[in-house]
Amino acid sequence: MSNNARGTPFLERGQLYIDEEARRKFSWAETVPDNQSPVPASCSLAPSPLETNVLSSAFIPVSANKNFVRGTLHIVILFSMVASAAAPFAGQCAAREDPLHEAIASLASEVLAVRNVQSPLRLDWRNQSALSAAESEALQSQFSSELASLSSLLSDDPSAQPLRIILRDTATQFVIVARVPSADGEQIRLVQVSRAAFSALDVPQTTPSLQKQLLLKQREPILDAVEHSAAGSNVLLVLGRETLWAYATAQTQLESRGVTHIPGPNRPSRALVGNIHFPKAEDAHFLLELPGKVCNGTLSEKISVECPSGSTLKRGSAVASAVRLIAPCDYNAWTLSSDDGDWSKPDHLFLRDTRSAAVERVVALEAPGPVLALSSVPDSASGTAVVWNLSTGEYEVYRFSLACHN
Amino acid sequence: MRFIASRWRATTRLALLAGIAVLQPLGAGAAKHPRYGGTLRVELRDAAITLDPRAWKRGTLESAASERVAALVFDRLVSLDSYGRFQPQLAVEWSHDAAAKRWQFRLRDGVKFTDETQLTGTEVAAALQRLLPPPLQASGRGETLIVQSAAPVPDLLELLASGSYFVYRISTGETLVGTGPFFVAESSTPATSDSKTTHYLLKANESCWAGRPFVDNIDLTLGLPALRRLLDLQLGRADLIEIAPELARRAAQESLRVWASSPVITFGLRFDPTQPAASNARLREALSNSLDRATVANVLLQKQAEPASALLPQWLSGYAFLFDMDTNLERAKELRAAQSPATASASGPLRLRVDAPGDLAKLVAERVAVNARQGGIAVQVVARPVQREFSATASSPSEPSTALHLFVWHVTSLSPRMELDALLKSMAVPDSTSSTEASSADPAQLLARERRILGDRYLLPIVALPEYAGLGANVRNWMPSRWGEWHLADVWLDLPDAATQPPVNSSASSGPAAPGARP
Repeated sequence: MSNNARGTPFLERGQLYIDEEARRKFSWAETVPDNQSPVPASCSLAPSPLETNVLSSAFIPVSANKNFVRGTLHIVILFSMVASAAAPFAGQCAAREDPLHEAIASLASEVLAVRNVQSPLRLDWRNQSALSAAESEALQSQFSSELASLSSLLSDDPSAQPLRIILRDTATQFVIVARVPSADGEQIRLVQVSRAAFSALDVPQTTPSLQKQLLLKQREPILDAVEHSAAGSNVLLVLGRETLWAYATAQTQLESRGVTHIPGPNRPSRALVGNIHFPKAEDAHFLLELPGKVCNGTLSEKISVECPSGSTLKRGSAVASAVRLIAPCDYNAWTLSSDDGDWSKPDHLFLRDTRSAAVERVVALEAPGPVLALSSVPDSASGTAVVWNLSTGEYEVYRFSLACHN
Repeated sequence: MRFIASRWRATTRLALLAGIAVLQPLGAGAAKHPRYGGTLRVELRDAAITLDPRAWKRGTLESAASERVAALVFDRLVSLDSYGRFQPQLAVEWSHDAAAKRWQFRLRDGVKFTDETQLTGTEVAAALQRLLPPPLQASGRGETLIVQSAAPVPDLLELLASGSYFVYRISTGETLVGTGPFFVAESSTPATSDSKTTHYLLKANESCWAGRPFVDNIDLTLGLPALRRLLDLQLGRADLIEIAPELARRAAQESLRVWASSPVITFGLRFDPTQPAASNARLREALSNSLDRATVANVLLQKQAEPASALLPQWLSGYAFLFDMDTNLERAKELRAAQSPATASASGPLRLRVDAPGDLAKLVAERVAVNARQGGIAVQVVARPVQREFSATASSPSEPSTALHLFVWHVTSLSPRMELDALLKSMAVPDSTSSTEASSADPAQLLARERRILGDRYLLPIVALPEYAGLGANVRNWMPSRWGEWHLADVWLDLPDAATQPPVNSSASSGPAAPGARP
């Protein structure tokens, strides 16, 4: 198991996949968002073989008479949690652990091994995949360096024969093809990397009037996310189908404050329905609304959640798709709303001045996918949005803030 | 003045905050409102479908249609999402040994078939064993399923996430039941011999492990002609239809919502190696050089297809763009001229049988005949008796005097190796690939194998087509996979009085749901 450049967990062949829900049945450890750990000043940690979402390595012994997972799972999980905490560090330190970079190195070796190459060659790099331009350029640079360090195969001479490198993607793989001119005819070399290994998206653009910040992202569904201030501390609550995550937001980066399993029966639902409500500002008490149940919770050192039997989510209780924000400069109120679409298309976030409702709303942000939930934070100059990123399939929580200047 | 302004702002802010505190429960709601209820009316092309995966013939259009309907009733162990990630379905964990010969799956707990039988490893193994290719052996007990093979199967997940590998149970009366989002409530076969349409009414599975589907029912009409389907969509009599490729452009011009998959259907030519004419390598090469694929794709199919130079589409293999089959009439004529008159006359006219009934297939065949004639080859098109509007028989037995066949192949597997294997087996063309090579999922070896097969020119791909669907304006949350899975359980309808919450009688069980589970 290795880590990609962004520290996003992924699954490789030869490894055990464990559904997050199944894992929670056995796991007691806290989950740390993979993008939230600080980057150390010096990189001394060894690359991590394991990450949060994927456990085990090449071979798990299987007993015919015993559940193969449960027996070893606690040890594996414990090890993986320690390893996962180190994974983002490893991603920063050891770029060669990235499977894509490994593939490029492998391809460079294969190209160099081709006989009777008609050198020098001019590198003709074509990215025809969903890989971002920035990542493609990084790979191109690495490939050139790999070749340059071992031979003088490449040249800038425009009249030199082209060494064509083409990046394409399939349903499951990124395929990198090298077309090498040689005296024996064109030689083809291919390497491939699982597409699940990395995201193929650049960070979305923002508009000047509304600033946004990616707080966290994960593969497990997020139903709602709310920032709240109580007892002098700011907390981000993130609601999953069966889990409530809490993060301290006082620092510039998130810090995990705990993970709570939401008790009670779960009614399976294809809809991402679930809400966090704080009935009173600055209060520690909150409500969780989920399909089939309503739960009471309290924010304290340890977050507690109770779901009394018989309490159910009332039909139609999920209502608005807009929140109100207060501009920090003039305290004018604005309404932020999303498209009334579905989950198949990216959303736009619209801003509308509440003083003049007749005025057409203005597109403030292009979201990278459908907005699943919107909420405003206590000071109301900012809010949070849960977005399902259509390009990566990950659930992302953004904090957005009204800015009075560009 | 400055003090006053500040105080006014502070007062205003407090008032607004107080208002917002009251509004907060309303304002923090979900941004999307999936609707529950309604009947999704679907019209498909093929009338002759079967929900029994054991009866499917790989690569045929009938099987593809059957698979589409079966996906509403059955589940697979895993699925592949649009991001190249395998997602748990009936299996929640999987692992394999270092050689990828032994795979172990842990099954989702608490899943029931629609006949209320519990899903077990035994049931899953029994279902899959009937479907898996011979080297693979499935065995199961409790919550565990083992798949074993003498040869490495590194692409087992790709295999299990596609094609016929559904988990089903043979219930009383040989009825197949599944764990999927719908179950068949009614089915009716044609009442008269004149009628070719079949109806299925599928009802929502309230206790589906992945959550109840949004629509209550799916009303499925099969076997309607292409123009009738288009008309029904235009008139609001259908919500979702299959659009024939030749009508896709027209549908788009009429401002209908048209969706296209990646190219999943290949039209091609097959030389029957048992026929004397097919053994003439120069004839095969001459025909290959005379084919004008671009014209077929751009003119005949009005740019709704793309010229195909490879057997596997680019989105599946990743290397199809390396193949190049440009038209070269001069070379074709040279090859024909180089043959002795006796050989040339012995091999012509070449009989081309259209194995895929339907107007489109016939048009392609006639275009092939024109191209061949330009290359100096006489080709006579022989049609088969047409039974259905748009069907395919990829590996039908050859008639004695027919050396050339027009075939249609529908991609079935997400494993390029398995797909190429199935295609070559079905086409029964010479393949000198060793068993070691054949079991390798290495793309370089796969490329070498396909290159060798195409180099022999027993198989000549012509064009690759996507599948098209037309959608009504009220169809929401349409998120199919690019290889053509429709995911109808996640679709909802814009209905004026539809509820935003599921019926309360859903059973309690755990399971992931869309959009994460089935993006």
